[in-house]
Amino acid sequence: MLSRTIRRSILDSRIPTSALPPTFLLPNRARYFNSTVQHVDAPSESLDASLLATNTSAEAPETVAPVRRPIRPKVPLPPAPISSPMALDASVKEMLPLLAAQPSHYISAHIHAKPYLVTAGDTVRLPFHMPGVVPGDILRLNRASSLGSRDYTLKGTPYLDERVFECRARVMGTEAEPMRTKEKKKRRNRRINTVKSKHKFTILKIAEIKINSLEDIEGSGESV
Amino acid sequence: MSYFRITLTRSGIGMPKRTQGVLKALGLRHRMTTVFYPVTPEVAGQIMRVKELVTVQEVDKPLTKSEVRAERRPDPGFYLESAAPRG
Amino acid sequence: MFGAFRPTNPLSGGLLWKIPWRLSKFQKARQRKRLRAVDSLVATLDKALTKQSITTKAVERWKEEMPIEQEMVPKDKYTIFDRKEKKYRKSIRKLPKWTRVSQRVNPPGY
Repeated sequence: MLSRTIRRSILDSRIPTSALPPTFLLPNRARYFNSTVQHVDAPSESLDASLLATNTSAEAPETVAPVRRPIRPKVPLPPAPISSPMALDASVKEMLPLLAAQPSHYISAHIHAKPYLVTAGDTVRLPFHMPGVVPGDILRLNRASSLGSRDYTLKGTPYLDERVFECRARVMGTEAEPMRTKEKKKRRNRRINTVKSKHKFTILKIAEIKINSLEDIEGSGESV
Repeated sequence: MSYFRITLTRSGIGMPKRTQGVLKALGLRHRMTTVFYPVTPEVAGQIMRVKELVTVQEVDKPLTKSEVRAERRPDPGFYLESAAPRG
Repeated sequence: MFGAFRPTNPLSGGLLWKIPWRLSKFQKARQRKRLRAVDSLVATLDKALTKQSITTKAVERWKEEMPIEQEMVPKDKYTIFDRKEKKYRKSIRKLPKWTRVSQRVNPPGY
């Protein structure tokens, strides 16, 4: 009996590494891929908003009566390119290559006007559930108040020009808080109402922070 | 044609009935409501009656209620660059 | 006789006034800010009306009678005339709704 367990334990320790599950299925990684099906609202609408608009206009003569409001996409669509030439300060022009040459950068990105001070590789748990995104989506963060490294900081007034930098974040999934229950009771009444709430939070991982070179910035301004 | 953009910043609670009536006539029911009126002596006189309670700007165009709301909404700060395949 | 509960003048009376009679520097700063806000509002009205060459009695009268914040003396900004006070002056905070009414001029000589 005892010898068998000892033998098994020895066998266990000799399992070849190929038999182990891949790293992305390890518990600490697998957390990001929810095993349950995620509830995502109307992804096709948000993706093909322009296409959808043309379709509805083509079908419009057949169904006259219902005036439908334009469908607001749940995820903001890429904004139109900015045509105005960028006015960079001389000092910024001088220091930007120095900032770009630094090994690592941080950024204070604003999502819905809330700042998130992050660097590449950071995991951010947003304080809300972002509608219309699924794990694997890449979001471009285009609003930042400061961008810097160990030695230099570029500050916005109040925001930086979004052509200076490229910051991308990958949607990793959602996280849920433990169920909260709250007992609601009124005075002089025995009735107790128990309210349950369980919120979901979207998790982002900052994939990339890149500072565009001066040639790229000015080149893009001229081409547009 | 220019307009006054009037925002009620201080409440009219506890003020005399006449003052509260002016606020009601201007359509300012609670704080931070914004209304637009053309620049006329009548409106200027009304504003003078409640000058301690409101802030006034001169604007070229009156905004609708939804436009005033959209002004306050902050920029999302992100957009979907590449979408993952959805089933 | 001595100690925390000795019978001092304010304690022996029935009423205990704990409101300091003068404004703090922050209250004074906010008071000046409110005065300036009204000034800028009147200036906005005046500018908008003169653009259309309209004159309004209320605005004209205000401009004629009322000093702007920079022209006022500190005494008038933070105190008001009261005939029952010892030196005919009391703090402006005694005026009901003092943050929401304009009280800028006092009788000459007081």
